[in-house]
Amino acid sequence: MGGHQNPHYPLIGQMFQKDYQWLCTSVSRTLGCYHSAQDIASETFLRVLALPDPLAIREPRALLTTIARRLVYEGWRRQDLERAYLESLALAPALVHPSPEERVLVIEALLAVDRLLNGLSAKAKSAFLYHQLDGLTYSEIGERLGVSTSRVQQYMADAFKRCYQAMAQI
Amino acid sequence: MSLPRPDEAVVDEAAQWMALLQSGDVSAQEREAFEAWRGADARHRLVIEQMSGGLNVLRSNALRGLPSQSLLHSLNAPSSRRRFVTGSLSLLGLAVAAGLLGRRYGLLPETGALYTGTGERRDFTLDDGSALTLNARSRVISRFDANQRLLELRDGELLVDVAKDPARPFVVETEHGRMRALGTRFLVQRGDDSTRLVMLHSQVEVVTRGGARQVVEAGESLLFDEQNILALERTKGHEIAWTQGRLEVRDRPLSEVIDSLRGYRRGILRLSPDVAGLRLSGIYPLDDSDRTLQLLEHSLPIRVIYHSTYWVSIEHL
Repeated sequence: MGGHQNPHYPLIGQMFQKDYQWLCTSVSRTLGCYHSAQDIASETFLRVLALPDPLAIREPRALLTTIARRLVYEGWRRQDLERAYLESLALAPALVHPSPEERVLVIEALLAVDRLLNGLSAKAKSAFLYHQLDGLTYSEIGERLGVSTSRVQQYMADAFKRCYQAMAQI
Repeated sequence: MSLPRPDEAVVDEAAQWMALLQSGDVSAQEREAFEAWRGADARHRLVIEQMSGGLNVLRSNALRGLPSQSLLHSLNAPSSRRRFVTGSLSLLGLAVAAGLLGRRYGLLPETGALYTGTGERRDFTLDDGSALTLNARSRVISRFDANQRLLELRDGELLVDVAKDPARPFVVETEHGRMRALGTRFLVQRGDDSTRLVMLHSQVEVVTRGGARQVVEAGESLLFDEQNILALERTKGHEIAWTQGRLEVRDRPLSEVIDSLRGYRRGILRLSPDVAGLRLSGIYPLDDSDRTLQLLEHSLPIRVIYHSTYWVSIEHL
C-alpha cells in the first residue's frame, strides 16, 4: 500500500482532519450508534479517495453526506438481501449450505446484481435472469411468466437499458 | 478525453439491439444492420460495451450453483430503505428505525436458522418430515444429527407436529430448559424469564437447566424458568389461535395482549403502566394490528395515540 501513494492523499488528508469528526457525529445521529458511524465515516473517506478527480470537489461536506448516506442504505440493503438469501436456503433444504466465507461472497455478489437490476420490475428481472442464467428462450420465458414473446423481448431491452445506467454510474 | 454522454435515444436503441441479438432469432441482414449501427458512432460502441459489461456481474463465481429462483427471491426482498423513506420518517424516526433494525438483524443468523419477521407467520417442513409453524418475530436453530433432532428456540413461539422416529428423540430447547418428545404435537412460547409448553397431543418430558423434571400430558400446559417448574395447568384451548391469525384471550391483562401484538407491528408500541393491568377477554385479528388497537380502544378506558405509524402509545382515557 505504502509504495505508490495516491496523488490526492494530502488533499483528502486535510479533508479527513477537518471533517472526520463532524461526519461521525452526523452519521451517528442517523444510526443512533457511534461505532457503526465511525465505520461508515471511514469507508466514506476511502470512497472519496477512490474518486477519479477529488480536486473537483466543491462542497466536501455535501459530498461526504451523500456518500455516507448511500453507504448506510447499502448496509440496510445488504441486510435485506442476506435475510432473503438465508430464507431461500431455509426454503430449499436440498441446496448445499455454504460456509460463512462463501456466504459473504454470495451476499457481495447478490448486492452487485441488486445494484445492477435495481428499479426493474419483478417480471423484467425474472426474464433477464431466466435468460442469462438458465438459458431459457424468450418463448419459454413468456410461458413461465404468462406474457407474450414480444413482451419478453421488451423486458430484455429494459434490463439492458438498466445495465447501461448501472455501469455508467460506476 | 471523455466522450459526451450518449443521449437517451441512443441508449434506447442499443437496448433494443441487445434484446434482439440475445433472442437467438436474428437474420444475417439484422446482424449486418447492427454492425453498421455500432460502427457508425463511437458512442454507440461505448453504450453496447457498457451494457455487455453488466452481464459480467451475473457471471460471478459466487453465484454459481445458486438457482435463479433463489436469486430472484433475494432480489425481490422488500427494501428497508424504501420502507423507511416512503414512511417519511423524520431524522428522529430514522434513528429509531435504525435501532430497531439493529436489534432485528443484530446477529448474523446461523446455518440452519429459521425465522420470521414482524407480522409474519410461516410453516416449515423439517428434514425428518415434522411440521413446524413459527409465530411472528421468532427464531429457531435446527441441529439434526444421527442421535437427536434438536430445535433451539431463541425467540418467539413455535408449534411443532413431530414426525415419529423412535431412534431420534425430538428436543426443543430454550435457555430455560429442554423438552423431549418422540412423536407428538406441542407449542413452545419463549418469554424473557420463562418458557411455556402447551401439549396438544401425547406427552413430553421437560428438564429445566437447574434439573427440575416434569412430564406434561396432552391438555396440560407447563410454565417453567431456568430453575423451577412454575405452574402446571389445564390448557385453555386457545393457545394455537395465532396459527390461524387470531389472538384469543380470556381474562388476561392488557400488557399480555400488547406483548402478543408487538410481533405483528413495526415500530414502537408504548403502553402506559396505569393501564397495563386492565383485564380483558376477546378475539382479535393479529394481521390487522390497527384494527385490534381500535377494538381495544372501544372496550377499555384507554386512548390510542398515533404519533406516527411507527410510534403509538396507549394511555388512560
